[in-house]
Amino acid sequence: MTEKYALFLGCTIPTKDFSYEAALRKVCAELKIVLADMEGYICCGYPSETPLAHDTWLAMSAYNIALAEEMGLDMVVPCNGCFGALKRANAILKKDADKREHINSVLKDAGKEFKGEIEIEHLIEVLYSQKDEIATRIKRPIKIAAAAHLGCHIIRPSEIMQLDNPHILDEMIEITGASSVDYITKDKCCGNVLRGLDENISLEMSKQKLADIRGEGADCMITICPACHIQYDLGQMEIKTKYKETYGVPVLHYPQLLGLALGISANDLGISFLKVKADEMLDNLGIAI
Amino acid sequence: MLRRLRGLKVTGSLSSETTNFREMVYTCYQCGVCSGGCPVSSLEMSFRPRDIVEKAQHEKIPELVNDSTIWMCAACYNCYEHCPQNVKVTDVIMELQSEALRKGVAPTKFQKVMGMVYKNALTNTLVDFVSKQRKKIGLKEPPKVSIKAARSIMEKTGIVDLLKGEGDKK
Repeated sequence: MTEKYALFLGCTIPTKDFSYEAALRKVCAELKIVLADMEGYICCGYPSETPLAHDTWLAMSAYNIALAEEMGLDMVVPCNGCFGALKRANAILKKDADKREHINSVLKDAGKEFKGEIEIEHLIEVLYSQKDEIATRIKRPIKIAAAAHLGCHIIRPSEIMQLDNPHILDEMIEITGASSVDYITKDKCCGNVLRGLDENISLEMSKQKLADIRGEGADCMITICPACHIQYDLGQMEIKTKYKETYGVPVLHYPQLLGLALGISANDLGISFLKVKADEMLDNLGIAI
Repeated sequence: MLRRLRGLKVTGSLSSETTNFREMVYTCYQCGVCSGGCPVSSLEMSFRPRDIVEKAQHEKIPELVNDSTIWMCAACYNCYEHCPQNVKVTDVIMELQSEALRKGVAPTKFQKVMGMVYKNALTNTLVDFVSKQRKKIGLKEPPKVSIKAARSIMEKTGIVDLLKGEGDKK
């Protein structure tokens, strides 16, 4: 059965972390998951998700949800920040009729109306829903040890996010033939939100996890959010400049790992665009880059 | 007990329209689970969610609002998740951050990021270099955005007044 979703790309993926976009589009095409682009979208509103700008966030999220409603499709979101903002707004506005009425009055000039007709899903949830099918399509098992970084806003606050399975990423990693290694700071935050506020703490948070991951002997780290990815991938360059420390942990977007296992070339998955090179790992696997 | 505390006057009173700030703060019995699980606290002793809530209980709101400590929160929601009293600690801190923004004593990150959204409908723009790299990897141009819609929403929800020139349509 063909599944079709409205793809919410957000701000960071198309403009900065586009290797994630390349990989997820190729993997979804391979799995016959149709992704419809959301023409005329705007920022999800996450940066304004404070009590002060509560309505700004709700209205921006609602605008995008209304756009997907017009397309008649559920939304798939590959960014944890966008996913958290959109899913929370969707839950609040479906439940609270007064709030919905107010937000719809804000959206009037923008020509949109939130109706509450669709669901918001993270990319990893959509892939997980097809895990049995995916397991039969693995052409090239990726025999590596990978460290999963799930991130925060896909799972917390759990009263709203209601992620059924907190091991979703571990299971999806293991489907590719890799093993998912445990490490002590596995559920900890990447620190990306503190960029531009406190660079020291932000990078220290990354260093702690990178050190743990390297200590467990993982070949790479796997992320499902562009903010987390930038924090660890570009972050390792910043750590090298600032602290003269090298971790050498390649950070792959999950669809890059899955894509390799499905037999898609490293080049098509944008793996050469990673800041921390994965060449040695791929070389050991006999995969050309 | 709670009813009596609810009536307490909090100096520098915060807007309670969006959260039950006072109720939440006074529900805290200072167990410290929030600080114990906080990824920032483990690296930076000066940031303790428990201390922030305690100061709020002791009516030290202006002190908190003017202190840069409230901006060390990574918004990971660990404390929110684990509080045995259901104090939404992340929301408490965000409420304090909001007050700092209202009073003009906050770092400029919020203005800068929301200023970008006002200009471009996104927090980033697609630069030529990235555009070329996207082509190289076989990606077409990303979907178009609606700057008009983003501006209309930001104007109608009154956020533009807080941007201090960052949202100029230059």
